[in-house]
Amino acid sequence: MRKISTLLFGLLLLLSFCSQPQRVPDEVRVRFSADPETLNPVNYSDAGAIQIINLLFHSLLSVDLESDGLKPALAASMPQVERKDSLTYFTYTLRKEAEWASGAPVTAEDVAFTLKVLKAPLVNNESIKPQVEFIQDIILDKEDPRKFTLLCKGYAPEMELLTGDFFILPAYLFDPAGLLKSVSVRTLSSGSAEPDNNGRIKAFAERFNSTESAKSKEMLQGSGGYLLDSWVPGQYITLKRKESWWGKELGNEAAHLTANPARISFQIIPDNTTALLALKNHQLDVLENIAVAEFRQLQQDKSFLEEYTLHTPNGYEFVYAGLNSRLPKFSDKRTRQAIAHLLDVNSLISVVQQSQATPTVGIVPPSVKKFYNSELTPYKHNVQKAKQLLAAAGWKQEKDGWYKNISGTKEKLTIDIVHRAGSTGYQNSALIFQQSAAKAGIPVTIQALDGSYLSQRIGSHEFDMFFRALSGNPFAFNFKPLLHTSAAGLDGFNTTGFGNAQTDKLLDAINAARTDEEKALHLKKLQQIMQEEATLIPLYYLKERIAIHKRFTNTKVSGLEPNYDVSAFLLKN
Amino acid sequence: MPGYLFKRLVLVLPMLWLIASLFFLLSRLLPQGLGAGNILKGDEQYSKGSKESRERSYRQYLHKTQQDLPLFYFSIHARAEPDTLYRVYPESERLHLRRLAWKYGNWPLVSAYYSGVKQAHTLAAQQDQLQPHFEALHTSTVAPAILAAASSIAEADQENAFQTAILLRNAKRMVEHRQDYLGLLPTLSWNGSKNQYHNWLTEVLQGNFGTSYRDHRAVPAILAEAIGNTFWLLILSMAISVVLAFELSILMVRQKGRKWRRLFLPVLFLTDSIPTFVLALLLLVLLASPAFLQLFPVYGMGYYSPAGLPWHESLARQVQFMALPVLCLTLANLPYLTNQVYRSLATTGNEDYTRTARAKGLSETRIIRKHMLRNAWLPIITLLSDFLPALVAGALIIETIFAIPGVGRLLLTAVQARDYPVMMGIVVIVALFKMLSHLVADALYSLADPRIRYTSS
Repeated sequence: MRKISTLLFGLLLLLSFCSQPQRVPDEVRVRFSADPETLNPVNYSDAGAIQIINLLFHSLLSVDLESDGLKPALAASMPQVERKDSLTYFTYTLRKEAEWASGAPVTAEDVAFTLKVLKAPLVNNESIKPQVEFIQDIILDKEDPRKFTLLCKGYAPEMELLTGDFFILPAYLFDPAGLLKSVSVRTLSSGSAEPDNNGRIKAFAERFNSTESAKSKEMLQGSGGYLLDSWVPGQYITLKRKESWWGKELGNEAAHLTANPARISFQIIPDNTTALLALKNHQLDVLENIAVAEFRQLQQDKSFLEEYTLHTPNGYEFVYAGLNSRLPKFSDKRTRQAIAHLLDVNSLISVVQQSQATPTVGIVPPSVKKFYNSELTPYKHNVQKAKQLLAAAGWKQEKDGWYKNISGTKEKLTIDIVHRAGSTGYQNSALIFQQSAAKAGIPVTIQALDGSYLSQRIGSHEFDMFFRALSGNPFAFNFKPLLHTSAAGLDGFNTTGFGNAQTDKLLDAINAARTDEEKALHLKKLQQIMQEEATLIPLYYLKERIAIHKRFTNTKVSGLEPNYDVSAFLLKN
Repeated sequence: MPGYLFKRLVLVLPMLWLIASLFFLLSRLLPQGLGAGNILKGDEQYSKGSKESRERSYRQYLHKTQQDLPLFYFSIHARAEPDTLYRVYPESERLHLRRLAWKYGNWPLVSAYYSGVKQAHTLAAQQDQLQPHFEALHTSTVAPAILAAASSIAEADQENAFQTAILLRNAKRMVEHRQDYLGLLPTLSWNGSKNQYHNWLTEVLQGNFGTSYRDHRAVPAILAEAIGNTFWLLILSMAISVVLAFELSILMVRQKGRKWRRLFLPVLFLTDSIPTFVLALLLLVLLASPAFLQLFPVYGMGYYSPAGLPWHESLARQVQFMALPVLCLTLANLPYLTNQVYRSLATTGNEDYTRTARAKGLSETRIIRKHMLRNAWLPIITLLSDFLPALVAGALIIETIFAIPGVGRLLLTAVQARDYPVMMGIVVIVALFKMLSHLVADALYSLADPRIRYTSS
């Protein structure tokens, strides 16, 4: 007995040492659910990596989350755009204050070097290379080392965004031997250089692809206000503020370039419940993507709300149901409209998203008021109307379902829904649709498929209907890659087979529009046609769910990724 | 004995080769590698690069990572299929061509027909009324459907009458000269040493175990890091559960152990019936949350600490972080282990030698520890040898909930991202430890019971 009491006493003594670790107030802790795969500023692949690299490096333009607008970052102002024949010229000047971590100025040479890295063969740049393919050459200004012109093929509205949307790398760090100096952007763009024989590119690629540039603190030093301090895989990544950073001296005109918190830590916590507990224990300051049910609970938790603010900005992720309009049974648009009437969007939003979503009539986000067609009304859930439309499309209701003669054979109307396995949201949506379709007498089967198998099935047009999401932004409304008939082939992005010659013309007109009014007119027309065609049935735009500790102000919460600007956080006095 | 062990060790090698080779070949047979997801993704409203340039980029990636080579020294496919079919992109088109080849058997005619379809389609891309027919040609392999669609196109498209006539003629020829049986006959084609398996095996023999598809780091380094993170956790919890299991069993097996049995057995039974993740979350909510007792940190293996702490302080921190996961793992392992040890001890209680020991008037402690325990060892060694592979295999649930970057989580993320080199590393190392554990168990058997002797013959 004595032994046990000694043991208990010892245990209590040990426990008395245990407590929650102390926190420094000027450190922001953000939760990541997984490590970024790499912090390589060229070969990054996930949103977490982009968020961190954005704190270390700059691109020419950046998104100001306060106004959700595009603003110059490394560039001193927005580019001058000049369109000549089939070419477009974007002329940029870099900020004269901008400098690298070593104190050396950022010059047009660095931009040229970056383009070479993005275009060079053998370098791990496959995911970003297609994105800059339209940039054919860079012309450096002879007098001003900060001025340069990007020569681009053709014109598309998102080009301005894309010319400014890659991280500028310091040539002195990534290529100290000057291996790429003699290679020109033009030869890399045309692919005419014989890369395998070009020993310099090979040598550069070997160095660049090695793990060095993806993890080492020495390589990951850019023009941003932060430096990588340590990365313990699976545990945390912490960044510290540069002691003297050029952006501090810019004043009001560049208020979107910030480096306020002294330290930013990204904590890797895979499990949602654990992350929520860590938040309640004050071990985290920012938690995003909170599960809808838990978010509802937090909204009612008074003691939690005393310390944290909950935000629900309107996001730009769009959830829709796609119908394979190529199938004979769905070729009549009245059939597709009938299916749209069976999708109960309101109950989908309340059940699947716990009301944290905004219904939409089309692919344009309702929050972008100037382009959103508010004259349209979304499809109402109406079984009777659906039945009428089916009858009008030539379907006849018999005992066990709807039948129609399609090119000589009697076919039954059935719908097979495919969705990505593991996504409960889509699964529930499919189940809700199944119930409402059953009321109209249409049998619905549901299949959950592995991600890559699902893309293969959809790519080869072997599906009836699917649920999917698309991410967008409020800057570029070029739907040509997604909706043009030329993209409707095997493995094309136009998965539903939407479109005809008329809509193709409309898509071109949207891209060619020079004023917002003209663009709005075309976009509204497109939304109307898309609603009528009902191949891509819009369901809702998601709302983000974020909690941020109350000791910070200036959080710049926004619907755009990463939904807040952690570098702007200021301590409340 | 040493000879026997050596022989066993040598036998391990071909086994490992077999496991690794099978894993390699099976993993490469799945559709779409890692690159596809990252490079070809189309989940954005506005496009960053056209489909064509993405596909070009993807093929460059496949070439660079040598994924465009044939898989093995030889390949078996239907006789109707050409051996260069794997070079056709996009993948859906390749699959469709393969189905056509299987069905109609005559590759030159299939190929002529399909290129005719593509040409006519490019010319008639803007004619809406023809699109359903072209869609049928792109996806269907049924002869009447193909002929019907081709003749409708030939009738309707007068602008490109020449092309559509060729298309119709090719379709008819393909259907007429159909050679069904060729799709059923297998054929073997030799690929030489320029294949993925050969390259991989040469690398492995040179000691290069590959780099992760995701972060391009060497697989052994990634594995060592992940194993290092959970090693102490696992070994500590195993040691505690083994010691506890023995002590509890000894308590229960005593003559006065009835009250302990009545206390422990139901409690252990109850703990055993709680799923590990519920147990872990329960511990978290009870011992690490402001709602109840806030004693331990919630997650991780220690936060970032600015200055170098003295060793005892950093150890004290570590202990705090490890307390809950260790407790959870111990509680999860204890019931089964205790039950086995107790049963094993209890059976030896009725043996003659125990009775003899009692008759000699030895103390109960001495009887249990010296006489019964030694004889109860054999089944327990088998049990404990299973713990060795678990040391490197990690504990997925605990790692996920307590945010510890161990092998279990590594395997999970590698599977999700189709990071085959990392998966392969984990599979091989777990297999290796499994085999080693059998060896260790064999050695321990003969230590525990000198009557067991192994010979190399």
